Amino acid sequence: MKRIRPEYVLVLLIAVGFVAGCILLDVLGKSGRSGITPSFQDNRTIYLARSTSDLYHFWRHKGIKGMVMVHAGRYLHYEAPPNPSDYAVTDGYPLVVTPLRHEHENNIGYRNFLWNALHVQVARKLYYLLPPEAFQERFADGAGEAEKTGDGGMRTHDLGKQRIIGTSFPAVTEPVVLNMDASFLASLSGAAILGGLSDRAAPLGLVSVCLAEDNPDVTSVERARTLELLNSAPLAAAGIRIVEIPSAGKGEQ
Amino acid sequence: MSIRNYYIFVALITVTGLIVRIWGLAGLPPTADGVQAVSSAWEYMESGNFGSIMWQHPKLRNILIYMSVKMLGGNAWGLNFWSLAFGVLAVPLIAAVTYRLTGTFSAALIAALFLAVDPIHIDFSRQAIQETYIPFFSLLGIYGVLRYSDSAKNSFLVAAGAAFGCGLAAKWHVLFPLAAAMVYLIILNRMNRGRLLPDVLLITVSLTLIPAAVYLLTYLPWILHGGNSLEDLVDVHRLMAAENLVHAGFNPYLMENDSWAYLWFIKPVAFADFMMQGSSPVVLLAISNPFVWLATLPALVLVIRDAWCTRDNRLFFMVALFCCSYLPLVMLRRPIWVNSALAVAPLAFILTARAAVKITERLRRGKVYLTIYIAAVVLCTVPLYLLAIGRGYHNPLLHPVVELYRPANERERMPLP
Repeated sequence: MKRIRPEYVLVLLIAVGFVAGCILLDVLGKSGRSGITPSFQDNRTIYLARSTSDLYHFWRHKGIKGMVMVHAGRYLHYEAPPNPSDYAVTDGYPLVVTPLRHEHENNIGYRNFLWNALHVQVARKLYYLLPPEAFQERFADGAGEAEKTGDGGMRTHDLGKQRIIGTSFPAVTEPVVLNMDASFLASLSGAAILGGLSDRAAPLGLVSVCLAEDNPDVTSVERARTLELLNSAPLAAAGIRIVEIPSAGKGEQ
Repeated sequence: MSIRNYYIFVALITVTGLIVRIWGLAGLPPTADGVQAVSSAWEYMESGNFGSIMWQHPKLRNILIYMSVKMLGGNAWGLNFWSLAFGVLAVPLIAAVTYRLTGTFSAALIAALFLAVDPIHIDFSRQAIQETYIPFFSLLGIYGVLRYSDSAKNSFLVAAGAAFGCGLAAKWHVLFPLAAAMVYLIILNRMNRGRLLPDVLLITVSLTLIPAAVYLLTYLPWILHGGNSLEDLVDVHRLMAAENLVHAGFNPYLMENDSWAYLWFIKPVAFADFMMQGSSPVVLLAISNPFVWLATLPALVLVIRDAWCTRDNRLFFMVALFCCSYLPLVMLRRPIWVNSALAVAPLAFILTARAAVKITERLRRGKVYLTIYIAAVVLCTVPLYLLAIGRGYHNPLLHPVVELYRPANERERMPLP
């Protein structure tokens, strides 16, 4: 029997080990995504949050992690705190590391809840669905540092964390966490999106609507219209139930 | 020279390298980059975020600094342990590589001395950022390749792949010497050995898949914390690459520093860091030693000529390593600062050391001239060393040199008397 050269054995071991390692890494990464079962298709539930901070804490309580998030709203909610790191370090010896996450969590609001969602890995990628007029207004002077996407949107990132801003629902093939803000639903396209939820072919994970009572830029008219949409007959007929998130989002009613 | 004496000299030069790198280090404050490196390390290891300092570079530094600060504490040793270790260990390593490439103990010792006392390498051996990782892992990979080509032992090749992988996980620049090493081995193998296929396969796989595996493993914290997949990894690398092509730093003062790679071996180049110790400024001013750096290009010409005349594979490899590492940086259209020169400097030192030996051995009093040259290098190092470790500002003789690097807006605000 012809002796197999040790070089071939080593090549095979390295190649197989590399491929197996890559598969393992991929599986490990994806297994870390959590918190959105049962999906919208299964439980037909829309979670209603009164404020952005309630919504954020609800996501955290649900253990949502590593998901693609779609936020439909007029605003970006992406204001970074003065120290945007989760860890402060003294600037002299001895270097002392102080976690800041607790401080950030105590200051969740409409200005920053999506910045925090991205930084605590609730979302690993964030899509914005803006009403067309809000998109035009925001990018009237050009893309700035953002790059244009194929469908007319804008892609930017924050130290590697991607944010894609557009006016149409993104073509995502995995379940997403979808939040619809009252600032979006008050517009005509928002009503169409809400009505189309039950017909949606693309996977939806957790779906929420936020009345943004903590956002002074969202009007009471917009909130009232949003509640009207949620209580409309077509949703009830489609078997969609509305569950209100209690304040601070500690659980379902 | 006997091999015993060679080892003694290597040890002495290494100890010298160690002493000059640790002297006074504990009394200096950390640099702003160093503090941010700790923050980024914690962000990466405990939260899976990239952190702000050099986010566009790979993540080995975050992992190592996290480990060393956890184990040694938040002091100068915990912060700078890895830079110090890799900086010191690169000294005997460059000797080993130079000996394999040139066949002479003298060139090996001279190259080791150049690295041991190089002001820029000393400066960055005393800082937390990853600049000294690159020369160490590159040299280690090259050494593994040379040992493999001499002995045909596969373990050296596998070890070289792992070393290059660690280097890649510090900065992508290691890709260039890695590519040169792979091409060298394949061509050498084709020329000298009859067994083409199995060896070429093994070389290719060892120098692609093994480095890639090591590189991927350093992203484990990011993958696990963030639920990220390999597809997400590719995506984020696209963003990192885009930033690397245009990166111009975050401090406007950086543009006042020498910021083009073509200058490195044409004139003395410098990099400055500024800190405060109490109410007193500390300026770490690293200036390249002109007796070594400015001899690089003439040394390169000499090696090219000798390689062409003798058809010595090792000389061709030496040229390829330097050119592959240096030319891509020269051609980049964005600023490249002197800290990045450490990826090329060891290869330059090997060229210069070899040239010094080759030129002087042809002269009647060659050893005297070589001694004078080495003495000039060492004497020039003395003031440059003091500048590099932050002792220049308060030194009346060196203060005017430090003032040359005062930021322009400071000069406007506080005109010199």
